[in-house]
Amino acid sequence: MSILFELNAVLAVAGIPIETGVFSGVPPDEYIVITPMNDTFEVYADNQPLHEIQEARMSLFVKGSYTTSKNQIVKALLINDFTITDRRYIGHEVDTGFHHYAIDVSKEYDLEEN
Amino acid sequence: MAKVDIKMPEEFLLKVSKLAEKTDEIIPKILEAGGEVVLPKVKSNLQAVIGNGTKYKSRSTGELTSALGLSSAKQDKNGNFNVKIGFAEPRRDAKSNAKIANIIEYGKSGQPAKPFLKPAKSATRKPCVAAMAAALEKELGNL
Repeated sequence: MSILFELNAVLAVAGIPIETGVFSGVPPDEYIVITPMNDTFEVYADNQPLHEIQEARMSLFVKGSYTTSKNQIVKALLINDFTITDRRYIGHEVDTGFHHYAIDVSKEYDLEEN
Repeated sequence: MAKVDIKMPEEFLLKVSKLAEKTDEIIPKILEAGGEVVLPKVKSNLQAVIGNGTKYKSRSTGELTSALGLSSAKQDKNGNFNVKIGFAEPRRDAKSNAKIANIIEYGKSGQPAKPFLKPAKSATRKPCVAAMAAALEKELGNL
């Protein structure tokens, strides 16, 4: 299991198109891009890491009101035990008409599961 | 009723008293020690993402990287000391370094995010705390 796999599964329920890294093709009026950030060994014993914390950033792009989608995503993340480490409105892109909202999440995974 | 008086050693009390007097002198040194750990990681992350995977040939001048730095410790309105890692302004082309850094960090529609600040923050949290603890120990030893 990885954070990318799980985020894709969790957010698929919201019905918003999702891609990793960059959105290929012509973007719809609402979409999400997931950017993997870093994996750290925060919890270990006997010098042997058994778990890792994976972090990723979700960029939500919406033409029009983003509030409903944002709340839906946040709720889905919390229900599925993700830790939200940051949420912020980045801004309105005048050239594209998109509102940009970023949500950073982290989750702990067993190394053996990967 | 039984009563117990515990007297702290004179030397310890003297050190605590000196520490209280020198707080404003010691805190900036400790914060700067922490900042010195985080700054190289931010810089190396930034260098790794600039010009990487661009649609067109990169026209990077290196100005953003060279503008990155660590501020000296300053007190905020609540009296707390802070150091900041950020970008000096202005740029030669009159654009804002902070704006460019923000676009690199968060991306745009059609431009992928290349986070460099957040990963640096996560990766250096422990070493930063350790460096600040070591700096505090050193300062306490000098009292």
